[in-house]
Amino acid sequence: MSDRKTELLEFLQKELAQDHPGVDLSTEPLVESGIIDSLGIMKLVQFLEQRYQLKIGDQDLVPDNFENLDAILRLLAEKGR
Amino acid sequence: MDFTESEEQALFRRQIVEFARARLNSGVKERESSGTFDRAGFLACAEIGLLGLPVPEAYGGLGQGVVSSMIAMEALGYGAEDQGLAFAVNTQLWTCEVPILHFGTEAQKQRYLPKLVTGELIGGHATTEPNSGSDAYAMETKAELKDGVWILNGNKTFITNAPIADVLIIFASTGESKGFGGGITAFLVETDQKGVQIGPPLKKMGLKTSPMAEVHLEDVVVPPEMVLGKKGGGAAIFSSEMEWERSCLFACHLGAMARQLEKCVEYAKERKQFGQAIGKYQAISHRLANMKLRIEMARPMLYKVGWLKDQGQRAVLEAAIAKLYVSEAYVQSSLDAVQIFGGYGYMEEYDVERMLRDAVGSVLYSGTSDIQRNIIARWLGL
Repeated sequence: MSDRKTELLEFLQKELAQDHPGVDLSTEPLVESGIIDSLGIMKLVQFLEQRYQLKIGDQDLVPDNFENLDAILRLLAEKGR
Repeated sequence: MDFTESEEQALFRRQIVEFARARLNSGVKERESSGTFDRAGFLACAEIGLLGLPVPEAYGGLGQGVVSSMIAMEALGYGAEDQGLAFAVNTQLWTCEVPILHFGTEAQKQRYLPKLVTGELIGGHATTEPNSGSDAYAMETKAELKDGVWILNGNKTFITNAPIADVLIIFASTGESKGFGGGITAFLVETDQKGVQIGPPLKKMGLKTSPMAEVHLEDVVVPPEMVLGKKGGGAAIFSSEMEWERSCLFACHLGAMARQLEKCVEYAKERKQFGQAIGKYQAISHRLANMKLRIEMARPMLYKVGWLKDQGQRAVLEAAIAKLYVSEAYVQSSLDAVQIFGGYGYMEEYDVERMLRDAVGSVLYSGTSDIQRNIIARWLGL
């Protein structure tokens, strides 16, 4: 597993998915399951911007970009990180 | 962080205070009693540049940053006794112009921003519904794509500026399911479009000169070029709006609190009971000291949000903290003002009771105090 994927899973588990024990966050639909909601997305974006020194535009804050771990990794790749 | 005002900012602050006192304060009581919006005052705000504060010069605005906009709003709140008018100005700026500026296409910007800046158009946004207030993304207003156009149906309530608005940013669900994950999309809708019905002005406790109404949408046809931002991107637009509103609108309230304190200090020096000015009694002077303390605590909290945003950083937590503190401080200081004025404070003649009524809404709009505490708790990992 890549370091980035591990870091993201740790963040999701610790900060956003406390109420979803036992869920496999690497495959779980994060938005549909409610793990990422309107506040969670802001918290996640702040983490991504600070941890990976990138800027995620407000235009990119659509549920599709955060629907699962792969989508988030794709977004990071698009941002050049 | 450095909040030192430049000479230009200080001059602009003074100009706005003088402008507000000269142009916006006449007839406030009468307008409040009748619930009348001061359109002439609104246009005067446009003339001095207030309606174009954050809008680039290319669209007729002043191209100011967040901190400069906050200074201007604080000055407006300090100078203008008509807080309903100030509220309408803020609504236009942060919930209509700023989202168009940040998320609009060039065609949308060209169509709306120059006329919003001059006050020729009045705008607002429509998010709240009868069954979705704090749970904003549980909205029932639907937008369905049929034959290449969006069809909007639903009901919105508590929509500031609706009775006078020409254009509203309408938030609607464009997903299969409700809630944030279902997808919320923002649409630019003109109020003279077929199927848009604006209800009668709603009667409120305060901010009576700021018109508010329900908005009914029945088979309103919206072409795809009037989608603001991306499909499903409504939540991001709403969050962005709220960060601006929670800093700049509440800077306006900070200005009002400073005016309120001056009025109270003046009264405490003049009013005599038991042979001396009431300000000599600790019961009064400590109340005034607490009012001053709240203002001084609130100012750096608010300007920190502006500074962060001017640096291109997100300020969700900081905006929630500032909004929560300022709104609750505003209400508490307004209660203190009534107490300092005693029986006179309860009478309409002294304006103190109006300030209290105006202040109460601040713990509700832009997200209630409870919602701000929820945001702060989430950032604490709870």
